Amino acid sequence: MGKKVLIVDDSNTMRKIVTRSLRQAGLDFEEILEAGDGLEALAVLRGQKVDLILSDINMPNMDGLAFLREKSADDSLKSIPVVMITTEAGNDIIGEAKSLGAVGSIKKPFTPEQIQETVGSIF
Amino acid sequence: MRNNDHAALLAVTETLENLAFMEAFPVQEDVSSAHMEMTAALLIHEPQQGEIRIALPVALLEGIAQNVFGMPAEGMALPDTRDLLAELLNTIAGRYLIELLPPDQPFRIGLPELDQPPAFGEDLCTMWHFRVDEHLLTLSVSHHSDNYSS
Repeated sequence: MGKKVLIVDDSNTMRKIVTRSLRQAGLDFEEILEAGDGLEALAVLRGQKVDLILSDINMPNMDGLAFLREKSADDSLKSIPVVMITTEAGNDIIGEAKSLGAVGSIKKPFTPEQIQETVGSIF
Repeated sequence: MRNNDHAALLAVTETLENLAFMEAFPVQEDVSSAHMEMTAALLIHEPQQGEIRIALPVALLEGIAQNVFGMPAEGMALPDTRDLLAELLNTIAGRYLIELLPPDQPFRIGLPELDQPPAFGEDLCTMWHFRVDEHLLTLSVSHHSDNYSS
């Protein structure tokens, strides 16, 4: 695919699970980057080109919604698609994420098929 | 089956299957002698106050870790094991509430805490036991009311 994806989650476990699921889904990214919160994610994004972001919502330092706000305010970053990976179900949280630019959401626990369906549709 | 029984069953079985490729079976067993060394709990803040807690033996957590991380348990650092336990609880808790509550009912949960005493008394607690390989895992939920309908 030749594309780079950034996984944003404060849980090392979840970052590994997402990475594993992307590979099991047959999504062949050139590079999979990681960040532990929104602040780290912004630092990564300002250092290299990324084609997709998969982000948790509840994180310390800068949560997923705050990250979306910062990203959408930056002309060089705002067009990068973001998919939220979350335990949240309420339409209010997901709705707010989408109003801030998220293109989709995946609920935990997810299967590789669900990852494939959501991420595959973006590319 | 009561709603919370179904929610608990789905939460645990789906989480273990999707995260760790393991099967969990509900059991009615006396777990008083089981060694459940690893515990994690988080608070439910909305729609009603409560707590969700899991307990399991170290050996089961190590087995889950091997499946999740794809490496021998001996090679794992303790912080990774504890992070796994926290994420396991976070996922089970979210799935449980999604299944239990009316569609699109928002909820708010706290961060997982490890090795903490129960926040509520046993009289307010419902427990479910699951067999995973040769080990037992216990999920318990405490809340002020069984009625989460909005």
